[in-house]
Amino acid sequence: MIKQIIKSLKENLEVTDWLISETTIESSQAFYVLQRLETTRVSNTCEYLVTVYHKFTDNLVEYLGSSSFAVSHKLRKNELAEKISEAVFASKFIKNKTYNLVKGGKRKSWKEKEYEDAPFVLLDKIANVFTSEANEHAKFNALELFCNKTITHVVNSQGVDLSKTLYQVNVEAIPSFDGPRQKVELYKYFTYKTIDFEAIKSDAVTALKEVTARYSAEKIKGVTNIDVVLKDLDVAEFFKTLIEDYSYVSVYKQNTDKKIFDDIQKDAEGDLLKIAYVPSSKADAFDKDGVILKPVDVIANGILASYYGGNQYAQYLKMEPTGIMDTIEVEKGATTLVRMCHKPHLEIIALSGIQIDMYSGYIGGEVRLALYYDGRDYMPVSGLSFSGNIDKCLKNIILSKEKTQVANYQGPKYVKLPGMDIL
Amino acid sequence: MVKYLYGGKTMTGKFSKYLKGKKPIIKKLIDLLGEKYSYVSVLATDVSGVNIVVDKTSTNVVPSGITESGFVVKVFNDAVYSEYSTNEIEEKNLPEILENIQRLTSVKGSIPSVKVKVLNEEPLTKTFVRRNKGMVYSTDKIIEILKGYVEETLKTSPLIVNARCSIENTEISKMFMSKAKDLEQYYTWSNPRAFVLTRKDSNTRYAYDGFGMNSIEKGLGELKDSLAATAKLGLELLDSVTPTPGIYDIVTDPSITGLIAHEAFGHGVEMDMFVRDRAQAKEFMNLRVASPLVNMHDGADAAFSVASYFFDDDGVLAHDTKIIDKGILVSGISDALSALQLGTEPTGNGRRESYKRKAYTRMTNTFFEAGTSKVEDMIKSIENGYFISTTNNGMEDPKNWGIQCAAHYGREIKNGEFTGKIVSPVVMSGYVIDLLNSISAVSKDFKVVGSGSCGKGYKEWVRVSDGGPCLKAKVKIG
Repeated sequence: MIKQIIKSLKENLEVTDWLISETTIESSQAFYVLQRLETTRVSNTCEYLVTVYHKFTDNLVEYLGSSSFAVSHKLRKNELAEKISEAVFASKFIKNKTYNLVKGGKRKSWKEKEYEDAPFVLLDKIANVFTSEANEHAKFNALELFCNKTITHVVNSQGVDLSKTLYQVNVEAIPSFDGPRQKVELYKYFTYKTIDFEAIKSDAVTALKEVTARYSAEKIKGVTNIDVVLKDLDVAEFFKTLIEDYSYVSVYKQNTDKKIFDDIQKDAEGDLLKIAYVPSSKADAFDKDGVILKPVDVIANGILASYYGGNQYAQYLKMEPTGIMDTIEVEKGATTLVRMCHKPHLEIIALSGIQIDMYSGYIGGEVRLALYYDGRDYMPVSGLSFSGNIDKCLKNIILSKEKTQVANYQGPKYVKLPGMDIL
Repeated sequence: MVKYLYGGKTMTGKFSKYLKGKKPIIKKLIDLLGEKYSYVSVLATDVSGVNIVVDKTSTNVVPSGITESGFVVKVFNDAVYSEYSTNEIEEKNLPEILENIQRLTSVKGSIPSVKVKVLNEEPLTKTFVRRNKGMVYSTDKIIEILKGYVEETLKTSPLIVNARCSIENTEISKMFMSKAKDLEQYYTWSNPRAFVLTRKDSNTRYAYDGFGMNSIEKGLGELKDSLAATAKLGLELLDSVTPTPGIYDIVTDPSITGLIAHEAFGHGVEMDMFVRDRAQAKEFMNLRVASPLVNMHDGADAAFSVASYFFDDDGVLAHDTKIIDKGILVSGISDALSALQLGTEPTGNGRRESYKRKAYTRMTNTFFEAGTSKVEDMIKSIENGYFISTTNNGMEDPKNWGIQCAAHYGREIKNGEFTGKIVSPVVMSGYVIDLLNSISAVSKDFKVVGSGSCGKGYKEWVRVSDGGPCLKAKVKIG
């Protein structure tokens, strides 16, 4: 199919340049209800996103218009030619500043190591790890398992011809606890790039322990302001939001007024942040335009060290493209969880969803489960919300020595945000 | 009657020729699989569309976010339902598809399967068509109009850093075929959106708006006012502060009313959650869950908006389901497989993110019914609170009835008058039953906003609408 698309693109003389992204996904999926198999699915698909570029001059200014379309099934020659013509037509009215497509070299491909087990054998083993940890009261009411092999092939008119094969297992697990009081549940979503059954078992055990704690959780009383400890996915979300406006596209569109070397943690008294964008694995080598990914320190020593991003907006800003990445790496701190938690605090186990607004400086969320330490004892609490100001958080943030690796995040497992309001 | 301005077609105006051409091979596939499996169906989708986005710095013409074209073959081997998704069904790959389905239905796991019966379907053959109303503008014309709006907006204040507007036009062709059914539907939808970024010194704020309708012409027309109002709000928000945490009386705009309906009791009555023992609502059927002023509906046929299809992804016709009647929980919503397991009738709420994903029970157009109060009187009755507007996001907790609803902003009301103070963002949380029982007034005004997306947990995104009247309630803002 890709050859047919390239042939048709070359036949249209108004096409200045082109880019094709071919995505092949082999996905095996298993759905369990009350720890019994309900549905099995396989999804085998191959789809194309074609971008057509048209260079033109208007009033002595050169522009590069582009327009994309999807191809999800075989097309006749005339149907494909019509789609290309329509995209060229649209491109003629798109007066975007000109830039060059990524230039290619040799054809190259990268592959992650395939899982040892066949997809459904693997999913069955993982489901077993979860269900075998269940007991009379604590079990998984729903389990959804996805084993995906994704092949991405990017080809452009400037010689880029790159492909990568990545593997991932995702598990949506709903641990629940049933007793004489009102039943409770939590929502868990796990991503595994490599398979470590001990790590998966640990996730299952922790999920059941946490939902057991929610069952005995009480309302927090008499606490209006306290240090809050976030962990895992909430930490990842916090750091990702912190740097999202430092991409080339955001900077070009003036979403941020922060300049390189600006102090992100003014008058810092806590840990200084180092946050980098990195490829998710060695095989995750290039982005949607064919830019070879390069790790980039976005924040270092609490200072904005670099912007990051893809080809088009890097050229607009006269910077080097780093490629578009979705995995961040944060340098760990020097404080152990034990030291971090020796004073009264609230350790958040589950939020409805962390709410962060970088412009107003708001951070907060509804707490489904937290462990409250009053200086003597720990007690599970729920039915409260916390909120605070991001700038104040950054001034006094403490990062844990313990590290974690969760979906698209590597870094400290815990962060302590001081003096949050509790309601 | 559809009129076209040619040169960069944005819509075809008719059911997918591609899917029509696939009908014989799908029939053949169903016949072949029918020899072995007690249930066979094929959902075929061909969804196309273009999202045209213009801001100060660039113009983008990209496929709509819901573009897809493919097939889901569903079979039942008298133990487990299995599905095979592919984007090619043709004579040549038929043996491969049959072999893959055979392999899939032979998977032997170590965990036993649920006990479920075969889906029974009443015979039905029907075709549904709903075309875009008015003029269907070409891509170049739309770009020209959107550019004009952006340039006009940027001129209004030096504090406007960027303005962006877009229109996403989609046309949906779906076909559901089984041993008993042969259904076709074609419909269209347009989603205009506006966004403005403002800055004063180092203080940056933003505002946004989104709506939906079945007319590119009308959508483009209304987008002008929408972008102007968004710019005005963006400038106002430069003076906004975060609210002081506390419990407040509030009046919600229809967008926030819809968000509450959606998060509070929409997800809670998705009956696949009943099957998984994940919804407390199951134990509250025919019991009071809200103030007697509350009447709530969901359904593809309950309102005309983004989720108004004719049949769902299980081939079940669209319904209008009354969920809450005068504060009493009276019904849930369901997909075909969940209804089968619960022994109830499906309500036409079986929806997939795409042909690559499973069908779940999903909301469609979810809203509270209008009441009898005047909004002015509701505002006058607030001693210390806020008028809360514009949905940002929300999160459900159907088992334990927690709720979190984030609004973009609120206007302070003291002693029945707006003070001019504006707060942003406004994150409301609490216990669903407390919130719904605190509703003390429901306005006559009513609006359903057709521009939302809804996930189940953190995945499976589908387009939904929600809304209703303005509500007076008491919530925790923190």
